[in-house]
Amino acid sequence: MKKINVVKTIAFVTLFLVLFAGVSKVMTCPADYRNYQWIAGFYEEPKESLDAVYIGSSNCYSFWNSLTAWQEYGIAVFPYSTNAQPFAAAKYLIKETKKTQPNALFIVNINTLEDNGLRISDFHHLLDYMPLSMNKLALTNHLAKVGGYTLSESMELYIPMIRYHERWDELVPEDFQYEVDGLKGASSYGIYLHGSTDVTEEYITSEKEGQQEPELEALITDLLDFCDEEQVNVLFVTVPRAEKNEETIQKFNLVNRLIEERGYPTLNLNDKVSEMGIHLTEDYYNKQHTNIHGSIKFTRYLSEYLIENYQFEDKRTEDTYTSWNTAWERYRQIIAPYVLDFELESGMQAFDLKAPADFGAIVEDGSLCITWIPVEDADGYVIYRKEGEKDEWQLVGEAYGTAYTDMSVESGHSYFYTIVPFVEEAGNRYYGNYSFDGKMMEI
Amino acid sequence: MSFTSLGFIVAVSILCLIYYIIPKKFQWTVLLTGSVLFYMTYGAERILFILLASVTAYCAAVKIDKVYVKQDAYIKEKGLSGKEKQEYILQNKKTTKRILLLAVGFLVFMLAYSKMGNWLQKTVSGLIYGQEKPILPLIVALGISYYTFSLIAYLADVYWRKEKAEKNYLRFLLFVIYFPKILQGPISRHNFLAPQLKQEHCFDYQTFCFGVQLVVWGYFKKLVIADRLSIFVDTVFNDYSACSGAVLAVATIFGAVQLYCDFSGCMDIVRGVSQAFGIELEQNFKQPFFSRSAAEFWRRWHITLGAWFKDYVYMPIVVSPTLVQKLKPIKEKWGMKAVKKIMTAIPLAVVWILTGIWHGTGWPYIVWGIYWGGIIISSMLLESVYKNVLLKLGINEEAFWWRTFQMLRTFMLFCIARLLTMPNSLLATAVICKRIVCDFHVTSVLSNNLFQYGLDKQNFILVIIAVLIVWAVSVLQGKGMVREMVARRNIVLRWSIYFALIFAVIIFGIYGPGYDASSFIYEAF
Repeated sequence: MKKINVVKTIAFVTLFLVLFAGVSKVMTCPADYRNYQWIAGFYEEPKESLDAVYIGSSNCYSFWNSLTAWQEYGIAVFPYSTNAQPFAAAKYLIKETKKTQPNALFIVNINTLEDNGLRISDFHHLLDYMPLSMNKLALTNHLAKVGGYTLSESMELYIPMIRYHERWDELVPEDFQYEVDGLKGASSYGIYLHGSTDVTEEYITSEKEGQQEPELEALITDLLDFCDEEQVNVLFVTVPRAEKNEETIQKFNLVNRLIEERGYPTLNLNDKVSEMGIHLTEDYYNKQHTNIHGSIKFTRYLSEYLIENYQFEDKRTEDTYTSWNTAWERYRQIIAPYVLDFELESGMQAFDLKAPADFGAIVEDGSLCITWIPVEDADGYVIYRKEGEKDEWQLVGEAYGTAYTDMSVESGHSYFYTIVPFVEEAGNRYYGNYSFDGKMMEI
Repeated sequence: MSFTSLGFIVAVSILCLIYYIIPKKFQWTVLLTGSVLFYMTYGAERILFILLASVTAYCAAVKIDKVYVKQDAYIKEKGLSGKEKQEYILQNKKTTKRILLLAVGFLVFMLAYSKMGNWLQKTVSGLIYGQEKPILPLIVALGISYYTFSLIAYLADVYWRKEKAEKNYLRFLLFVIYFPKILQGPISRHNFLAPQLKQEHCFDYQTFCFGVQLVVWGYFKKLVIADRLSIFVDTVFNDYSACSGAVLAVATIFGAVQLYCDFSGCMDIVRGVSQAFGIELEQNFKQPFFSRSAAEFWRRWHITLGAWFKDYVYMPIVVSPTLVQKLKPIKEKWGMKAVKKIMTAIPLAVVWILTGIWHGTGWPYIVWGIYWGGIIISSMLLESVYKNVLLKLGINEEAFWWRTFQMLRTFMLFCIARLLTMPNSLLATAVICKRIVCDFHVTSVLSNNLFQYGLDKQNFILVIIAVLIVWAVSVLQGKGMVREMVARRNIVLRWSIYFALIFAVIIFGIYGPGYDASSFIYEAF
């Protein structure tokens, strides 16, 4: 072949690969962009800057809130997690995140064992955004193997365009921008912010251990052997999901014991909801996931555990971490319509103080007079208001009785109100529960 | 391994690399190995039938050839001439004819059994046992319709002494099983393909590029148009009773375009792949929708099949002494003109019934053959009447509007023919035709109703644009080789066209598991 033809061929193939990579990136991004943030976001972090990396399925980002941990304790823990992330990936993900964060603690979510559906779409959530490396190829190969997929079935994991090319008629502007939101993996999706469901019936605990399963044992052994080999600092955490199924809890108990026997630390939080102050009636958005209110409480509990056991230092004033402070400022704005200030203040909550059962209001001379049923043990109440559902809650006043008149309302407007009971002890106020959505009043 | 799978592209690339790297005298063995492996990806047992068929044809051809060699030597040795020679040749002809008929008979039996065995066994077992159950194993031989015809043509050519028998069985097997053409043709002739397979091929950049371009164009027609249209066509015809006449009419037209893009797209892929190896395959399509008559259409559509029937069915009947003998009384009574017409009509009728059977089993295909045969024979018989009418009406046959009308008419004839075989029963065809005629409301096409059958508005627009591109390229093809036209352009335009085509296939092609947004939106998580 002539020299010019060789040059032309190389140029053509190179150009094709560049264009293909670009087109593939545009087409690959699935509609909700969350997994992209958790995976691609991780690679934005400077080398050796994270205290810990939280590896696992959706539990990680719904229970752990990296930015509330940052604003309260100044610790940097990033969730390298994706929807239904298979537990079989853990070993590879430790290896992956260790490349840039070799000194970090690797927190592995045990509950991920139950999300091991091994659906090819779940593999996409993880693999699509990992940069190309030998480790990624090995992980892809491993997942295809454990999922029982043939080479032709798993080809879409190596070349995502095979699946995503059909999105050509549903592309949105975000597909072309493809930006990391810089929120350090802190969740901001709708149901996490405003969803709430009662999981009292589903939530069970158990002290018993499940029966030994050779496959499960092999999976754990393989991961721990890897940890031995790589000498990584690892912590295994079981989050308090409302599993309903006792067998699942027992399985987690067994896994925790197996891990402890190998000398690795575990933190089984399955029966610690009351200790953390998590309310089964409103702090979950579904049985496997806490909402922002539950996650603030969980994050606080785990942060304190990490600080105590791993001596993580407060880095809020360090220059390297300016992006975390900026992220928090932005995130505070995002969560403002859903979270009241006091929730973000450590140790200032009276978990047992219930929210007022209901409240009503009447309009008198252009003012709104709100009355409510008294809450047992409450010393007083603070009243918050917002105009639109997505507006920030504003403190409008406080009352020691069971009525409050809001004089600053405008006729023809509607407002959301929520009332928070509190108790006072030694000059400190401890706030209780409140209605997250509030109640709408029309003037 | 499908032509449209990634595995096929990768396998062909590897094969191509090996083909041009190894010493040239071994190139044919690479093709043979690749072809056998490709065939075996559809099931190892299937290769037995093709081996059986090829061994039969190979042995028969060698045997016939031997008779001829012996015959020539004998004539030369004895110095035979005149009547003696004729008698000796006639004697040998009987032997070779017997060998030919035995071999062809066996091949046709295998083909017929593989095509109709299932239906035949069900019917027979139904009569004997009262229930339909298989008695003998069925032959599910891949590409049997194509390789059987190639083998018959080869045997006939050897018998007619148009070519010599191949002595090397493996080389002969390569001609039979050569992977680009084994699944869907073209029906290759031994004297066209075998010399190319024997030849040593140096890598030619231009030929290779042209081959790859043809492959990409084939994928465009197949994956972007045909497979997209089939979603609509299949949805409509699977539930034709619920569709309005207008929707059925659209599906019929789309069905015709789909068939063309599917078949000709595959032909482009296989011809392009073969070209990348430096081997040309016969052209099977030549802008058939620009045909002005049914006869012309069939000279441009599935060309190798039409040529095969012409050479190995039509011509033998026309020159058959038996037919000439039988037509003698007619010649005396009605004259030579009538004999000529009958001599054309009879072989054409045979050809078209056989063409129908070749395309599929069951009544729809026989009716399909009669339909085309009827049109072509009647237009041939009435040619003079037809010309007179045009003359009296003062229609200029070369006028643009008249040529366009003829093309549209031919296309409509093709659509009607497609309606005969698409719904799989003549009753369904009748219902659909009735509905198209009696229940045709343009409003149901113009409204969103049309987008309920698997293709949304965007996909409709896309497929129409793609069809227009194919039409425009077809117009250009009438003026010369489009790939050469593109190659003469500057590099920016040229590469833009190549990349546009490649990415059109990658993005708009129908392949892969499909993107289901619901499995990716995790609102509940």
